[in-house]
Amino acid sequence: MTALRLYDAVTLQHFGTIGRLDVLEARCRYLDPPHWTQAVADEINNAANTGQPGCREILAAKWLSAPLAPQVADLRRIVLIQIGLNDGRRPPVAHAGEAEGIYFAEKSGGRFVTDDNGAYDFAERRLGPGHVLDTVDVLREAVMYGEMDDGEAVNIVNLIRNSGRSIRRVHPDTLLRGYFR
Amino acid sequence: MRMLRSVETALGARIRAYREQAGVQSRELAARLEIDPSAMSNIERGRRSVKTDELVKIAEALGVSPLALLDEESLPARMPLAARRDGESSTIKGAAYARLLALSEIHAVVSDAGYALAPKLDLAPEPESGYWKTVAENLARRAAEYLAVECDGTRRFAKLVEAIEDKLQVDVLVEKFEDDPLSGAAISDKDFPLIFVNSQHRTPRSLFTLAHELGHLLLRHDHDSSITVDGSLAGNSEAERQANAFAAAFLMPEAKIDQYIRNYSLGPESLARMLYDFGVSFESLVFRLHNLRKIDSTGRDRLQEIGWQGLLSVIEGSDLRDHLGPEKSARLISRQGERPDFRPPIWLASRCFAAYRKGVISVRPLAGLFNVDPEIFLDRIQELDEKSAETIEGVAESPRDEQLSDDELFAGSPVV
Repeated sequence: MTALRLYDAVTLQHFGTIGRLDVLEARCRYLDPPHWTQAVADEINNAANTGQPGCREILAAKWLSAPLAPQVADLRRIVLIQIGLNDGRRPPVAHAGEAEGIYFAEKSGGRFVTDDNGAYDFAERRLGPGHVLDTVDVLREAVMYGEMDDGEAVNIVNLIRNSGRSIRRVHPDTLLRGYFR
Repeated sequence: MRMLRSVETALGARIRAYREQAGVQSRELAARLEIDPSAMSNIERGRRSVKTDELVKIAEALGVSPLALLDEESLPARMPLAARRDGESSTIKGAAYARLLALSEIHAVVSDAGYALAPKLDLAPEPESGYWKTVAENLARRAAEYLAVECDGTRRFAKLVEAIEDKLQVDVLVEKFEDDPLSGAAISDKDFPLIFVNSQHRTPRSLFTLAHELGHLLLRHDHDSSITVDGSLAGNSEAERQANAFAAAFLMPEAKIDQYIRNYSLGPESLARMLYDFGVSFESLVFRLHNLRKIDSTGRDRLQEIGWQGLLSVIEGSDLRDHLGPEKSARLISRQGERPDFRPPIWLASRCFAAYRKGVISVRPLAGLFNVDPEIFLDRIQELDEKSAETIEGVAESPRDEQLSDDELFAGSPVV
């Protein structure tokens, strides 16, 4: 298994909502697919059925490829991660997408992209620095590789926020161009 | 490929076994998962893969942990199944039991990563063989000596919790679950023993629950699973009667009762003093006196009729208040309305903290142990991670503020 770059549902929806999935696609240009897992695809599909914006575009994005589906032999490790992502008060029904993403990123020595604050912190401790990214990290990469300038990165974050979505709370409320260099 | 098929077949067979045990129809389970009944049938036959979220939904529908479906040896697999008893109150249906199941899952996750504990339960006194009541009473006496909780009733609950944690390395969870059928529970797994007390009940009753669950652990009441759950603490089985006998003898030793009766005769003063010193409920004390044949069944019924309010009205309206002392009298009254404070399972919390730092679990279950908002918890950890070690080293090496006056030193607010 080559090193995978796997997107979480939150991040896909951030870019899908503002019609800028091309930014995520460009970051995968030289990497083998798939770029999402089965649980993330199912989550996006459910969100599309409830009319959430940007989901149809994500489901139609061919570059994501067929979602990576766990085998039964993978399930125990994934469920252990999923339990670790839940609050310990009730059955661990949430965060299946993050659990699969972290599991396969770990297994492949790859990277996991999420804007869930708790999942990011967890994945960073588990996979090591540089193996987990959020929207701001992705935009910083895009600026670094000349795929956009820092003004466009600021605009993208503002568009995401103006559409009612949140980036991780570790980032300031007002982002300046220098934040992406 | 053959091996994979056999893994799928084994998982399918376990799902089917749990489904049948829970009394759920295959068609009904398929509807919960929003999949075709034939797909459900194929899952159970090992002919179709199970998605992660499907597995979790199956487990939720059957009232088990997903780990139980994947690993027969795990602690969650040994927890009892919530059988279908619609219309009846079941101790394994509410939020409290869900919490215990979730804790057993967290234990499984951190243990799998090597964050284990070596409880000292094996060092505690063990039950001898013999008549159930004698076994319970002898064990209670030896356990009381071993745990050595010497204090009056006001601090007894907290002190006993600390002794269980320190001397047995058993986790104790004290948490309020309003209107939950579960009063208490004991997980007897050798790697994760835990006592749960539902603090929706007042401290005197909670103290009895704590001792009752301790009795289950020390009496090695494992049954077929690794947990005993208690609703009313009614003695409707030998194990329950024995745990009740243990708790009564542990909290209200016969020798001490005889001493009170000798010193004050059996009346309001001895009852009040025993109530104060033992920290138990009036009902527990009356039951104990009857079981020890200090009072007959008529006396028991009469005392139960007047209740602790009747006893306190006698004390307040007589010289007894001065005999007891106004502080004791006031505490005796206030205690009847107190409930134990929340207490997280400290050993599990300690293991979780280490596991969190290594990316075994996220901040959510760790914050959940303390009932704290995970985002706030995470902010605080991230803030402290950066400067804690440096700050503590700096404080240790800093010179004393000898130039400050007492007025200046005491001017700040020590409580935040």
